[in-house]
Amino acid sequence: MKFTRIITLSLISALSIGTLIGIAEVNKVPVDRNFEIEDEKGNRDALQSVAFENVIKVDTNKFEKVILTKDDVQFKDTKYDISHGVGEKVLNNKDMYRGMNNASEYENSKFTMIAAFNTHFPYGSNEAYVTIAKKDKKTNQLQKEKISLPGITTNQYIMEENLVEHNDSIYYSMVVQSMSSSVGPTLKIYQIQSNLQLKEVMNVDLSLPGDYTDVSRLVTDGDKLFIILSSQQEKKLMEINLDTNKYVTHTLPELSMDDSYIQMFRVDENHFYLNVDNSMFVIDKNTYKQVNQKVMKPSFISKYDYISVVDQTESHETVYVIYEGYKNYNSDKYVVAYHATTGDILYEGKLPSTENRGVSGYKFVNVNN
Amino acid sequence: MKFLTFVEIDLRKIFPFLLGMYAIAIAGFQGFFVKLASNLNGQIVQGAAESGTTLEEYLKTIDKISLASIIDSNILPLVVQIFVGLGLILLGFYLWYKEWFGASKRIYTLLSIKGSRFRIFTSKLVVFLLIFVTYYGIVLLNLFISSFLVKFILPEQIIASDLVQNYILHSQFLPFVIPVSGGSLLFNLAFLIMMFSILSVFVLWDRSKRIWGMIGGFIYMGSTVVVFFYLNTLDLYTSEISIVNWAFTLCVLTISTAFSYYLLKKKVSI
Repeated sequence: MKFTRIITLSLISALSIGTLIGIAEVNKVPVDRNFEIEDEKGNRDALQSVAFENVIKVDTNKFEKVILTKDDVQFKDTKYDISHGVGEKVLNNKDMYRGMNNASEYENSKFTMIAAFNTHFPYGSNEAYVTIAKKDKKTNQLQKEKISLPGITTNQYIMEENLVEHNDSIYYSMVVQSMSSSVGPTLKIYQIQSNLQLKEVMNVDLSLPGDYTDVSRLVTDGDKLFIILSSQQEKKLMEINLDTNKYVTHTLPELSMDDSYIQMFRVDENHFYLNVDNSMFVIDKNTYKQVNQKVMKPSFISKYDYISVVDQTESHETVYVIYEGYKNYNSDKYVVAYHATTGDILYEGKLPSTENRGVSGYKFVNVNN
Repeated sequence: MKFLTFVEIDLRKIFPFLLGMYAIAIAGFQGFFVKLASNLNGQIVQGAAESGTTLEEYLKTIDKISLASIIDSNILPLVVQIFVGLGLILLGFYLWYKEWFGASKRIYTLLSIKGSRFRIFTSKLVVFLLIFVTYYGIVLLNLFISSFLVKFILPEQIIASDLVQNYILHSQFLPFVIPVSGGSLLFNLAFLIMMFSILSVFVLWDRSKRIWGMIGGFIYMGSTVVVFFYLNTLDLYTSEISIVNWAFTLCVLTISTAFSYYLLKKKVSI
């Protein structure tokens, strides 16, 4: 008997295993470590006080953190889990984050606390509960509680969650949106007691007149919670005082009315920052008036079909934004620095491509100056 | 009969079918790939026209194109490979059942040959592994052909370097089709042996106990699938799930092989 088929298939098999090992293990291509920002407009010195972070894959199961500044780049070994999209912080505290990778967080010198509403609700699971986990920083002791929340039904979904401490109490807030168009979004605020049980303290209707109200992120500042309500007719800023359980709404200056979607909302000591329809607005915290004299818009808008705001930060009267522009198959990342009061573009630059190396997007990190 | 003769006879039976499956894998992959790459070329030309510059200038402003940017954004080429892979698993059933059906019922000859009956199992396992390792080679071949074809479809200066190596390391979807590292190659081989053992339990149980064996086989096969999917829906991180999968594979592999051995030795009779 001639073993032609055995010989053929064995040869092909040996060849394919050899090739696979050859290209996947022996003859690897080193990852491209050339990271440099490409100037498009203005002076790069405007990026003096910011740094960018990104995670790249350098080998099977090996990742490095990239810290990019205006004229330097550093690499540090890190952990990353591609299928969950989580990095070091979560992977070093697996017991706490398990099942709630994108939980809202609160951290102080004594403990870290996270809270997340049932992530499978309402499609994968119809149980309305929130999981709260608290880890003591000294003893590393973990407390985890599942608390069911009455009054939330499966025709609602959770839009926003937030965790904040005030006056030694921790508050968990969430925005619930109904799937039926006649009911607007509702904000629910709970106080977390020391045994990790919840006590409902507030229930605020967020709907504006009109067909549909969109809400921004829920941001916290001291003893206050802020949220932007947006409909086709108007845009309002709601301020909720956690001390008095009272809330007020402020009318915002004329923003774009075409687009009711708030792309980004942040707050710092003096200003609110928000992005509507690709335009950035800086709003004074005391007067609720627009600070920037000129609309802050990147100059590359027309080159793309769609632009999203990835991250934003501010320092020394300068507002920094990372944008991602999409056109057909292609997407590019940019950093833009605006002057907060004049609204002038101080700098515009293209961030290095992460194609075939990056596993996470760019974000701002703190630098010590 | 010698062991190699067992293997050769099995291979001869399935060879034409195998060649057909590999041909479908190559034709399907390349067909979709060429289509996707041509679409991309159209978009590049259109992008250049809209930007108002020459194509040369425009190409300098956009990212280099790698296999990941073509295949990972539309995984139809890989879907074809997955379907071919599923078809090849069915060959595992055929390898066993072909002996029982037909006028001659060759199983009687096989079972009455002197020497260990377990040879029948191991020879078919070797065939099953050869089928799949060759299939990995076919998928790799497809990647090499694509990395060659793409040069004729897209402008040269926009194509990234080391296409195949980079795709193996960075693709999100390729690991669902073939192993992409030494470690995952070992796991895949163990997983294939496990799959073949489970199929063998089903076939041998069915052939030795008829109706009840068939029901038992279905329950056994179904429960391993259910347990496997259940384990993979747990909230486990990648490093943990790979340990769990190894443990599951080795456990089921041992139980199924032992059970097949027992059924083949004791239960399947002439």
